[in-house]
Amino acid sequence: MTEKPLLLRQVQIFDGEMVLNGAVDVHIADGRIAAVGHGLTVAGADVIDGYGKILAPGFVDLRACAREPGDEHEEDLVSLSDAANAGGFTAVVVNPDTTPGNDDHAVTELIRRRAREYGHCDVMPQGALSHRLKGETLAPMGEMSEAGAVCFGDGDRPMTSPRLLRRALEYARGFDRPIFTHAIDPDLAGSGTIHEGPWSTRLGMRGIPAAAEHVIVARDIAVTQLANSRLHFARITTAKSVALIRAAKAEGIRVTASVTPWHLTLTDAAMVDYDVNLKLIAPLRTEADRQALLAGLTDGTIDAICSDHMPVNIAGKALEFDYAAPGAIAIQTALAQVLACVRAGELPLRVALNALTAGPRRVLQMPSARVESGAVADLTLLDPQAKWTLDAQTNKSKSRNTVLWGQELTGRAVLTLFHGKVVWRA
Amino acid sequence: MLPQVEPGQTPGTDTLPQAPQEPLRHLLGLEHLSAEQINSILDLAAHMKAVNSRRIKKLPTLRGVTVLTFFVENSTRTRMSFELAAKRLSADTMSFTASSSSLAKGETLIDTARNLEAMGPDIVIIRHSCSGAPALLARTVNCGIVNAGDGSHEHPTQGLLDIFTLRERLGDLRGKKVAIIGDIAHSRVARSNIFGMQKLGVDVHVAGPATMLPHAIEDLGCTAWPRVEPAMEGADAIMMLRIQRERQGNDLIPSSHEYHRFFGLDEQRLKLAKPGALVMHPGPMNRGVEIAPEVADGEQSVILQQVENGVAVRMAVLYLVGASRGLEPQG
Repeated sequence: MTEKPLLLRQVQIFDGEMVLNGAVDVHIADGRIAAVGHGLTVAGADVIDGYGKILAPGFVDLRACAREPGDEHEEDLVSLSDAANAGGFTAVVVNPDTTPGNDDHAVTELIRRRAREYGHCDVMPQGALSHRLKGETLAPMGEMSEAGAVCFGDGDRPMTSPRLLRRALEYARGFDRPIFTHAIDPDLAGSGTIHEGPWSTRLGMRGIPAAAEHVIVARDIAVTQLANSRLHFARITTAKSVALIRAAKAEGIRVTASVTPWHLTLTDAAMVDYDVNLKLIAPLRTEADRQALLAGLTDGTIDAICSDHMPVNIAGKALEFDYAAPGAIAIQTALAQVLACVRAGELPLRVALNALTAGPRRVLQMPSARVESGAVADLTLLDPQAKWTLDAQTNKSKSRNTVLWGQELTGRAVLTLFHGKVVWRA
Repeated sequence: MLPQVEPGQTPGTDTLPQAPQEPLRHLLGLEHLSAEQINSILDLAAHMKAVNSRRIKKLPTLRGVTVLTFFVENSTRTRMSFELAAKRLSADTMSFTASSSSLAKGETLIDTARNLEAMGPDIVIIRHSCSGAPALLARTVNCGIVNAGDGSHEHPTQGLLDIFTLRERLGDLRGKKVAIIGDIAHSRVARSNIFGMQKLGVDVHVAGPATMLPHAIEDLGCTAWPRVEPAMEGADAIMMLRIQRERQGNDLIPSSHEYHRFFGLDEQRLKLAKPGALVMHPGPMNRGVEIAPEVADGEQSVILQQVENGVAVRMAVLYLVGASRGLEPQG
């Protein structure tokens, strides 16, 4: 590493658990944190004023779509890395439902190699759980683990077979990888597009009942216990799911969960304009659900906040709500969205930052990231007060499918370091 | 029966009542209209109905205005009613029909709409199988949008013609009980009527098998029943909704036969309602399923008046949307 040394002056450190009192200087050299202390001076260093800003371990996103291979017009591993960095992320788990799907070590290797060649972000593939993501037979998890897959799951495809899920959970134990699931009962969800409730009735939309999620959460908790393995609910949306996971954790069952910024900030009332950018695979739920998700995050029931970044080309969204492709880009706005909860007094700052840093690392059993001398410099310097707007100038994604497009946001990463290299600077 | 006309209006002249204070830029649904707006549409419709009884059923008010019917779901009757309404206001009409699936596969709705907009229509009347499509269009193109039915959301002109028919027969609607029976969950007619009638003080009851009652329907202010009898009891009017035979595959009801036995309107059940209660249906009817033929053709039925009133109500709506956009000829 021949990068110029960096000196961050007067930053407040978030150590994974809390924001430490008092500002310090941090010296970064040769890809690592060289020193943390007061009044540091480094000859020839690039000095960055960090006053009023927080230095945290690089954010880890447990769920994003890279669209590569197959749909590079919507996103690719380079644009995803850039968008992730601008959002403060230095590591991202990418979904296996690409074209072709990541159900084979060759695809896993391709993703790893392409991301490594660019070298801005640790792109961690989720390998498919089943062959061709069909939910019928196990995919070669061993070979994919060797090639760099960090977890297994069929992306957004519902697991219709509890028997296969059991086998996957058991098999994955030998490779020490968690299984990621999208909890939905497709039969009960039917052709629903938004949360089934007063708003679906008012708007004349087919609903996805909350029960379609938590019947599967309850089932998968039981199957995880049966298989004595680790399962991660990739995004939960209902109060009942939070309660089920809380009880399972209390019983010692090894389940974890994440939530998206959308579900922490919005409810189904936002569907009033039929905005296709709020058509999400896991629908926005009620205010009571939102409050339960915030409480679940605060008490540790929910481990992580994932961006659920889903780039969709304009042609996929310039359609009637029923026909539009689901999903929204969020990797660049996730921090601002979550900080809105913090400013509203709904979420402690330490909880929000934990869910973006230490929480997701715990789900993947990665070594905990520290901001201390000798640690690898995967770091995010964030300014909770910075105002900015996601628009054609600032957007790093190849897609623009978000309701936040053009809106002024508060809070952003102003500097992101990956292995000591400046990969993003606002 | 003579049409009700507000005092000071002379039926059969070409002078129209004053447009309401709040202009009607689009008609997307009845949910967001005020009682005053609904009443002013109905007052104007009464005037239009008088025009429709003249030998020359035509007003020059929308001369030079182009009205496009954009039907992405088949409905010959509704389209004809709108086209007739437009022609009676001297508008030029053109029509575009497509199946929504073929549209979805090829051109996007927005592309199609922009292409149509480039031909310069002033008012677009849209029927679509997807809820929210008219709202999408209203955001996309610079024309007045009239919703002719979107998915399971709203069918505002049907609601208005139903309310017009009720008002014509019952006068002041405050405190009147109306029962709406059928597949409330999938009915845009039910929603527009629930929203619109309640604004005029109607006590709305909805009923049907609970598989057809959507979640939290009572949040909309109406009373819901999983059997029809309590809804029909003492009602001033009963509106039967069409049962979509194709929806039976959707597990909502066991059979048409069973539906008729427990939820259909026959002479016996009609006796539960007030004597002389109105029998309504938005059409087309499934005789022997939701409604017995003798009731459909009986003395209490106002089903054909609903159709007649539909043209007058649509004339009023097109006029008001045109007027809000400064399209009516000056002087």
